[in-house]
Amino acid sequence: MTMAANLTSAAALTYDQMRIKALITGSSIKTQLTSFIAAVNPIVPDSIPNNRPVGNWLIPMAALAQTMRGLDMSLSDFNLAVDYVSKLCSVANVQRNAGLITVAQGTALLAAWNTAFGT
Amino acid sequence: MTFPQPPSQDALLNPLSNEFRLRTQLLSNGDLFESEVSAAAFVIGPDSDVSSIQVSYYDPLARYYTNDAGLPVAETSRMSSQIVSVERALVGSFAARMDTDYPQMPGRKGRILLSNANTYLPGWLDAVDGEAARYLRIPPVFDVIQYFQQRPSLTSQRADKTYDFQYTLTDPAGTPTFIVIPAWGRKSGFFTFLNRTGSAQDVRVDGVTYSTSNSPGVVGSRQEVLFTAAALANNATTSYQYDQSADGAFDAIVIRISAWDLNEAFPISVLLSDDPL
Repeated sequence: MTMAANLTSAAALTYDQMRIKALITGSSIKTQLTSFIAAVNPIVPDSIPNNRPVGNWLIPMAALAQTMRGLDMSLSDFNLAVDYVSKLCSVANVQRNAGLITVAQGTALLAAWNTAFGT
Repeated sequence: MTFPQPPSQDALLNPLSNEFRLRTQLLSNGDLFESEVSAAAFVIGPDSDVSSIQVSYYDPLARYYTNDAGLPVAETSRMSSQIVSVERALVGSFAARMDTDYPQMPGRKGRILLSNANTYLPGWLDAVDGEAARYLRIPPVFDVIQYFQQRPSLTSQRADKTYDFQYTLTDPAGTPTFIVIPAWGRKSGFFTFLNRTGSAQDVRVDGVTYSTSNSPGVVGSRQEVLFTAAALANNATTSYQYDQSADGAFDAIVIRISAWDLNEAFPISVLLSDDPL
Protein backbone atom coordinates (compact mmCIF):
# COMPACT_ATOMS: atom_id res chain seq x y z
CA MET A 1 0.00 0.00 0.00
CA THR A 2 1.22 3.48 -0.86
CA MET A 3 0.15 6.82 0.58
CA ALA A 4 0.06 9.70 -1.88
CA ALA A 5 2.17 12.71 -0.97
CA ASN A 6 0.17 15.12 -3.10
CA LEU A 7 -2.81 15.24 -5.44
CA THR A 8 -0.70 14.69 -8.58
CA SER A 9 0.68 11.56 -7.02
CA ALA A 10 -2.82 10.47 -5.97
CA ALA A 11 -4.04 10.81 -9.56
CA ALA A 12 -1.13 8.75 -10.85
CA LEU A 13 -1.43 6.11 -8.12
CA THR A 14 -5.19 5.61 -8.40
CA TYR A 15 -5.04 2.68 -10.79
CA ASP A 16 -2.41 0.76 -8.82
CA GLN A 17 -4.12 1.35 -5.48
CA MET A 18 -7.62 0.45 -6.67
CA ARG A 19 -6.24 -2.66 -8.36
CA ILE A 20 -4.59 -3.70 -5.09
CA LYS A 21 -7.81 -2.99 -3.20
CA ALA A 22 -9.85 -5.08 -5.61
CA LEU A 23 -7.49 -8.01 -6.19
CA ILE A 24 -5.25 -8.34 -3.13
CA THR A 25 -7.11 -6.98 -0.13
CA GLY A 26 -10.45 -8.15 -1.55
CA SER A 27 -12.14 -4.83 -0.90
CA SER A 28 -15.24 -3.90 -2.81
CA ILE A 29 -14.53 -0.96 -5.12
CA LYS A 30 -18.22 -0.10 -4.88
CA THR A 31 -17.85 0.33 -1.11
CA GLN A 32 -14.55 2.21 -1.39
CA LEU A 33 -16.01 4.56 -3.98
CA THR A 34 -19.09 5.23 -1.86
CA SER A 35 -16.90 6.05 1.16
CA PHE A 36 -14.70 8.34 -0.93
CA ILE A 37 -17.75 10.23 -2.26
CA ALA A 38 -19.12 10.69 1.26
CA ALA A 39 -15.77 12.03 2.45
CA VAL A 40 -15.21 14.42 -0.48
CA ASN A 41 -18.75 15.82 -0.74
CA PRO A 42 -18.59 18.20 2.24
CA ILE A 43 -15.11 19.42 1.28
CA VAL A 44 -16.26 20.97 -2.02
CA PRO A 45 -19.83 22.26 -1.54
CA ASP A 46 -21.79 23.01 -4.72
CA SER A 47 -22.70 26.53 -3.57
CA ILE A 48 -19.18 27.82 -4.34
CA PRO A 49 -18.67 27.93 -8.14
CA ASN A 50 -14.91 27.30 -8.00
CA ASN A 51 -15.56 24.01 -6.18
CA ARG A 52 -17.66 22.61 -9.00
CA PRO A 53 -14.91 21.43 -11.39
CA VAL A 54 -13.92 19.13 -8.52
CA GLY A 55 -17.28 18.43 -6.88
CA ASN A 56 -19.12 17.76 -10.14
CA TRP A 57 -17.05 14.58 -10.55
CA LEU A 58 -18.95 13.18 -7.58
CA ILE A 59 -22.16 13.08 -9.65
CA PRO A 60 -21.10 10.53 -12.31
CA MET A 61 -19.06 8.82 -9.60
CA ALA A 62 -22.16 8.40 -7.42
CA ALA A 63 -24.17 7.10 -10.37
CA LEU A 64 -21.45 4.54 -11.04
CA ALA A 65 -21.13 3.61 -7.35
CA GLN A 66 -24.84 2.89 -7.24
CA THR A 67 -25.11 0.81 -10.41
CA MET A 68 -21.80 -1.09 -10.44
CA ARG A 69 -21.70 -4.58 -9.00
CA GLY A 70 -20.04 -5.02 -5.65
CA LEU A 71 -18.89 -8.62 -6.00
CA ASP A 72 -18.65 -9.37 -9.71
CA MET A 73 -17.40 -5.99 -10.90
CA SER A 74 -17.11 -5.54 -14.67
CA LEU A 75 -13.84 -4.39 -16.16
CA SER A 76 -15.52 -1.39 -17.77
CA ASP A 77 -16.92 -0.27 -14.39
CA PHE A 78 -13.49 -0.68 -12.78
CA ASN A 79 -11.93 1.44 -15.51
CA LEU A 80 -14.57 4.12 -15.08
CA ALA A 81 -14.07 4.15 -11.31
CA VAL A 82 -10.30 4.61 -11.73
CA ASP A 83 -10.87 7.25 -14.39
CA TYR A 84 -13.28 9.34 -12.29
CA VAL A 85 -11.17 9.25 -9.11
CA SER A 86 -7.96 10.01 -10.97
CA LYS A 87 -9.60 12.89 -12.83
CA LEU A 88 -11.03 14.38 -9.64
CA CYS A 89 -7.53 14.44 -8.14
CA SER A 90 -6.04 15.96 -11.33
CA VAL A 91 -8.46 18.84 -11.52
CA ALA A 92 -8.32 19.41 -7.75
CA ASN A 93 -4.57 19.87 -8.10
CA VAL A 94 -5.08 22.45 -10.87
CA GLN A 95 -7.74 24.30 -8.87
CA ARG A 96 -5.60 24.39 -5.75
CA ASN A 97 -2.50 25.59 -7.62
CA ALA A 98 -4.60 28.37 -9.18
CA GLY A 99 -5.96 29.39 -5.79
CA LEU A 100 -9.51 28.52 -6.85
CA ILE A 101 -9.86 26.07 -3.99
CA THR A 102 -7.98 26.55 -0.75
CA VAL A 103 -4.86 24.74 0.38
CA ALA A 104 -6.94 23.34 3.26
CA GLN A 105 -9.44 21.90 0.78
CA GLY A 106 -6.60 20.33 -1.21
CA THR A 107 -5.16 18.82 1.96
CA ALA A 108 -8.56 17.45 2.96
CA LEU A 109 -9.08 15.93 -0.50
CA LEU A 110 -5.68 14.25 -0.30
CA ALA A 111 -6.54 12.88 3.13
CA ALA A 112 -9.84 11.53 1.79
CA TRP A 113 -8.00 9.80 -1.07
CA ASN A 114 -5.42 8.31 1.29
CA THR A 115 -8.13 7.04 3.62
CA ALA A 116 -10.08 5.40 0.81
CA PHE A 117 -7.30 4.13 -1.44
CA GLY A 118 -3.88 4.81 0.09
CA THR A 119 -4.07 2.63 3.15
CA MET B 1 -9.29 30.49 -20.09
CA THR B 2 -9.94 27.26 -18.30
CA PHE B 3 -11.42 28.00 -14.89
CA PRO B 4 -13.56 29.85 -13.96
CA GLN B 5 -15.42 29.00 -17.16
CA PRO B 6 -17.92 31.36 -18.85
CA PRO B 7 -21.53 30.70 -17.77
CA SER B 8 -23.57 29.02 -20.51
CA GLN B 9 -26.64 31.08 -19.71
CA ASP B 10 -24.82 34.25 -20.82
CA ALA B 11 -25.15 32.94 -24.38
CA LEU B 12 -28.91 33.46 -24.03
CA LEU B 13 -28.45 37.20 -23.48
CA ASN B 14 -28.05 37.56 -27.22
CA PRO B 15 -31.51 36.98 -28.72
CA LEU B 16 -29.94 35.83 -31.98
CA SER B 17 -27.77 33.24 -30.29
CA ASN B 18 -28.64 29.58 -30.68
CA GLU B 19 -25.50 28.12 -29.21
CA PHE B 20 -22.98 28.13 -26.39
CA ARG B 21 -19.42 27.50 -27.50
CA LEU B 22 -16.88 26.48 -24.90
CA ARG B 23 -13.36 26.76 -26.25
CA THR B 24 -10.54 26.46 -23.76
CA GLN B 25 -7.16 24.89 -23.13
CA LEU B 26 -7.01 21.69 -21.15
CA LEU B 27 -4.90 21.96 -18.01
CA SER B 28 -5.35 18.45 -16.67
CA ASN B 29 -6.81 15.04 -17.42
CA GLY B 30 -9.74 15.89 -15.18
CA ASP B 31 -10.95 19.27 -16.45
CA LEU B 32 -14.73 19.26 -16.08
CA PHE B 33 -17.08 21.93 -17.39
CA GLU B 34 -20.78 22.53 -16.91
CA SER B 35 -23.83 24.02 -18.58
CA GLU B 36 -26.95 25.27 -16.86
CA VAL B 37 -29.01 25.41 -20.07
CA SER B 38 -30.77 22.43 -21.69
CA ALA B 39 -29.49 21.36 -25.07
CA ALA B 40 -30.78 19.98 -28.36
CA ALA B 41 -27.37 18.93 -29.65
CA PHE B 42 -23.64 18.89 -29.02
CA VAL B 43 -20.88 18.87 -31.61
CA ILE B 44 -17.11 18.96 -31.38
CA GLY B 45 -15.92 22.44 -32.29
CA PRO B 46 -13.59 23.10 -35.23
CA ASP B 47 -10.58 24.04 -33.09
CA SER B 48 -10.73 21.00 -30.82
CA ASP B 49 -7.77 18.73 -30.26
CA VAL B 50 -9.97 16.53 -28.12
CA SER B 51 -11.77 13.99 -30.30
CA SER B 52 -14.28 12.61 -27.76
CA ILE B 53 -16.24 14.50 -25.11
CA GLN B 54 -18.40 12.91 -22.44
CA VAL B 55 -21.77 14.61 -21.93
CA SER B 56 -23.51 13.73 -18.64
CA TYR B 57 -27.02 15.02 -18.02
CA TYR B 58 -30.17 14.68 -15.95
CA ASP B 59 -32.12 11.75 -17.37
CA PRO B 60 -35.50 10.85 -15.83
CA LEU B 61 -35.45 7.58 -17.79
CA ALA B 62 -32.47 6.19 -15.87
CA ARG B 63 -34.64 3.94 -13.71
CA TYR B 64 -33.18 0.45 -13.12
CA TYR B 65 -29.89 -1.36 -12.85
CA THR B 66 -28.94 -4.99 -12.19
CA ASN B 67 -27.62 -5.83 -8.73
CA ASP B 68 -25.19 -8.56 -7.60
CA ALA B 69 -28.00 -11.11 -7.62
CA GLY B 70 -28.92 -10.23 -11.19
CA LEU B 71 -32.15 -8.59 -10.12
CA PRO B 72 -33.47 -5.20 -11.30
CA VAL B 73 -33.18 -2.49 -8.66
CA ALA B 74 -34.58 1.03 -8.81
CA GLU B 75 -31.88 3.51 -9.79
CA THR B 76 -31.91 6.97 -8.25
CA SER B 77 -28.93 8.62 -9.93
CA ARG B 78 -31.02 10.09 -12.79
CA MET B 79 -27.81 10.55 -14.72
CA SER B 80 -26.93 9.33 -18.19
CA SER B 81 -23.70 9.86 -20.09
CA GLN B 82 -23.02 9.81 -23.81
CA ILE B 83 -20.03 10.55 -25.99
CA VAL B 84 -19.91 13.17 -28.73
CA SER B 85 -17.07 12.51 -31.12
CA VAL B 86 -15.56 13.82 -34.33
CA GLU B 87 -17.41 11.05 -36.16
CA ARG B 88 -20.82 11.76 -34.69
CA ALA B 89 -22.77 14.73 -33.37
CA LEU B 90 -24.98 14.17 -30.33
CA VAL B 91 -28.57 15.09 -31.16
CA GLY B 92 -31.56 14.73 -28.85
CA SER B 93 -32.88 16.30 -25.69
CA PHE B 94 -30.45 16.91 -22.87
CA ALA B 95 -31.93 18.47 -19.77
CA ALA B 96 -30.22 20.85 -17.40
CA ARG B 97 -32.44 20.76 -14.32
CA MET B 98 -31.52 23.75 -12.20
CA ASP B 99 -34.81 23.34 -10.36
CA THR B 100 -33.72 20.07 -8.79
CA ASP B 101 -30.70 18.09 -7.61
CA TYR B 102 -29.27 14.81 -8.79
CA PRO B 103 -31.05 12.54 -6.29
CA GLN B 104 -27.92 10.49 -5.61
CA MET B 105 -26.00 13.66 -4.72
CA PRO B 106 -28.33 16.00 -2.78
CA GLY B 107 -27.26 19.62 -3.01
CA ARG B 108 -25.75 19.24 -6.47
CA LYS B 109 -27.91 20.80 -9.17
CA GLY B 110 -28.92 18.97 -12.32
CA ARG B 111 -26.38 20.63 -14.58
CA ILE B 112 -25.04 19.17 -17.82
CA LEU B 113 -21.42 18.13 -17.36
CA LEU B 114 -18.81 18.15 -20.13
CA SER B 115 -15.44 16.43 -19.88
CA ASN B 116 -12.62 15.17 -22.04
CA ALA B 117 -13.17 11.47 -22.80
CA ASN B 118 -9.64 11.07 -24.15
CA THR B 119 -6.74 10.42 -21.82
CA TYR B 120 -4.41 13.38 -21.28
CA LEU B 121 -1.13 13.39 -19.41
CA PRO B 122 0.22 16.96 -19.19
CA GLY B 123 3.51 15.84 -17.64
CA TRP B 124 4.36 13.07 -20.09
CA LEU B 125 8.07 12.18 -20.11
CA ASP B 126 10.09 10.30 -22.69
CA ALA B 127 10.81 6.70 -21.66
CA VAL B 128 14.59 7.06 -22.11
CA ASP B 129 15.50 10.73 -21.70
CA GLY B 130 13.00 11.36 -18.90
CA GLU B 131 13.25 14.61 -16.95
CA ALA B 132 16.70 15.41 -18.36
CA ALA B 133 15.22 16.41 -21.72
CA ARG B 134 13.53 19.68 -22.67
CA TYR B 135 9.79 19.49 -23.40
CA LEU B 136 7.87 21.94 -25.57
CA ARG B 137 4.20 21.06 -25.10
CA ILE B 138 1.36 22.26 -27.33
CA PRO B 139 -1.60 22.68 -24.92
CA PRO B 140 -4.63 20.76 -26.20
CA VAL B 141 -7.79 22.71 -27.01
CA PHE B 142 -11.20 21.58 -25.74
CA ASP B 143 -13.83 22.96 -28.11
CA VAL B 144 -17.49 21.97 -27.88
CA ILE B 145 -20.61 23.67 -29.22
CA GLN B 146 -23.95 23.27 -27.46
CA TYR B 147 -27.06 24.09 -29.53
CA PHE B 148 -30.20 25.20 -27.71
CA GLN B 149 -32.57 24.35 -30.56
CA GLN B 150 -32.68 21.67 -33.24
CA ARG B 151 -30.86 22.44 -36.46
CA PRO B 152 -31.52 21.00 -39.92
CA SER B 153 -28.23 19.12 -40.01
CA LEU B 154 -25.21 18.81 -37.77
CA THR B 155 -21.78 17.32 -38.27
CA SER B 156 -18.82 17.31 -35.95
CA GLN B 157 -15.99 18.57 -38.13
CA ARG B 158 -12.56 19.49 -36.84
CA ALA B 159 -10.29 21.73 -38.83
CA ASP B 160 -6.88 20.49 -39.87
CA LYS B 161 -4.20 21.66 -37.44
CA THR B 162 -1.05 23.21 -38.85
CA TYR B 163 2.04 24.10 -36.85
CA ASP B 164 4.87 26.11 -38.35
CA PHE B 165 7.84 26.21 -36.00
CA GLN B 166 10.37 28.56 -37.59
CA TYR B 167 12.36 28.66 -34.36
CA THR B 168 12.82 25.94 -31.80
CA LEU B 169 13.98 26.38 -28.24
CA THR B 170 16.62 23.69 -28.09
CA ASP B 171 18.75 23.22 -25.03
CA PRO B 172 22.36 24.48 -25.34
CA ALA B 173 23.34 22.19 -22.47
CA GLY B 174 23.18 19.29 -24.89
CA THR B 175 20.00 17.45 -23.97
CA PRO B 176 17.46 16.53 -26.67
CA THR B 177 14.22 18.47 -27.16
CA PHE B 178 10.73 16.99 -27.49
CA ILE B 179 7.81 18.80 -29.12
CA VAL B 180 4.56 17.21 -27.87
CA ILE B 181 1.57 17.70 -30.19
CA PRO B 182 -1.96 16.50 -29.33
CA ALA B 183 -3.21 14.03 -31.93
CA TRP B 184 -6.35 12.32 -30.58
CA GLY B 185 -8.25 10.75 -33.46
CA ARG B 186 -6.10 12.27 -36.20
CA LYS B 187 -6.04 10.02 -39.26
CA SER B 188 -3.14 11.50 -41.19
CA GLY B 189 -0.26 13.91 -40.85
CA PHE B 190 2.61 15.44 -42.74
CA PHE B 191 5.89 16.54 -41.17
CA THR B 192 8.75 18.42 -42.85
CA PHE B 193 12.13 19.25 -41.36
CA LEU B 194 14.84 21.57 -42.71
CA ASN B 195 18.24 21.63 -41.07
CA ARG B 196 19.89 25.10 -41.08
CA THR B 197 21.95 24.60 -37.95
CA GLY B 198 25.33 24.20 -39.64
CA SER B 199 25.84 20.64 -38.47
CA ALA B 200 24.12 17.25 -38.78
CA GLN B 201 21.12 16.68 -36.48
CA ASP B 202 19.04 13.66 -35.50
CA VAL B 203 15.28 13.81 -35.94
CA ARG B 204 12.71 11.32 -34.71
CA VAL B 205 8.89 11.17 -34.68
CA ASP B 206 7.15 9.06 -32.01
CA GLY B 207 3.54 8.14 -31.35
CA VAL B 208 2.46 8.21 -27.70
CA THR B 209 -0.56 6.64 -26.03
CA TYR B 210 -1.04 8.16 -22.59
CA SER B 211 -1.60 6.26 -19.39
CA THR B 212 -2.99 7.74 -16.18
CA SER B 213 -0.15 5.97 -14.41
CA ASN B 214 2.43 8.75 -14.61
CA SER B 215 5.50 6.61 -15.20
CA PRO B 216 7.66 6.59 -18.30
CA GLY B 217 8.35 3.24 -19.92
CA VAL B 218 6.42 0.03 -20.08
CA VAL B 219 4.42 0.57 -16.90
CA GLY B 220 3.01 3.87 -18.10
CA SER B 221 2.45 5.47 -21.46
CA ARG B 222 3.11 3.55 -24.66
CA GLN B 223 5.66 5.07 -27.00
CA GLU B 224 6.45 3.93 -30.52
CA VAL B 225 9.05 5.23 -32.96
CA LEU B 226 7.34 6.10 -36.25
CA PHE B 227 10.13 7.81 -38.17
CA THR B 228 13.86 8.42 -37.81
CA ALA B 229 16.25 10.60 -39.78
CA ALA B 230 19.68 10.12 -38.24
CA ALA B 231 22.36 12.71 -38.90
CA LEU B 232 20.31 14.92 -41.17
CA ALA B 233 22.96 16.97 -42.97
CA ASN B 234 23.18 20.75 -42.85
CA ASN B 235 20.82 22.36 -45.40
CA ALA B 236 19.15 19.00 -46.01
CA THR B 237 15.40 18.45 -45.72
CA THR B 238 13.35 15.39 -44.90
CA SER B 239 9.68 14.61 -44.48
CA TYR B 240 7.41 12.02 -42.92
CA GLN B 241 3.84 11.07 -43.74
CA TYR B 242 1.71 9.72 -40.87
CA ASP B 243 -1.04 7.24 -41.73
CA GLN B 244 -3.24 6.13 -38.83
CA SER B 245 -4.44 3.01 -40.64
CA ALA B 246 -0.86 1.78 -40.99
CA ASP B 247 0.98 3.41 -38.06
CA GLY B 248 -1.69 3.15 -35.35
CA ALA B 249 -3.77 5.62 -33.36
CA PHE B 250 -2.07 7.82 -30.77
CA ASP B 251 -2.93 10.44 -28.18
CA ALA B 252 0.07 12.59 -29.12
CA ILE B 253 2.71 12.81 -31.80
CA VAL B 254 6.13 13.70 -30.41
CA ILE B 255 9.04 15.14 -32.37
CA ARG B 256 12.48 14.51 -30.91
CA ILE B 257 15.39 16.61 -32.13
CA SER B 258 18.97 16.41 -30.99
CA ALA B 259 20.61 19.36 -29.30
CA TRP B 260 22.78 22.02 -30.84
CA ASP B 261 24.67 24.84 -29.23
CA LEU B 262 23.94 27.74 -31.53
CA ASN B 263 20.79 29.59 -32.37
CA GLU B 264 20.48 28.64 -36.00
CA ALA B 265 17.08 27.75 -37.34
CA PHE B 266 15.62 24.30 -37.77
CA PRO B 267 12.20 24.97 -39.37
CA ILE B 268 9.56 22.31 -38.75
CA SER B 269 6.11 22.18 -40.37
CA VAL B 270 3.35 19.87 -39.20
CA LEU B 271 -0.11 19.20 -40.60
CA LEU B 272 -2.57 16.93 -38.76
CA SER B 273 -5.89 16.00 -40.34
CA ASP B 274 -9.06 13.98 -39.64
CA ASP B 275 -9.12 12.90 -43.28
CA PRO B 276 -7.43 9.59 -44.10
CA LEU B 277 -4.65 9.49 -46.67
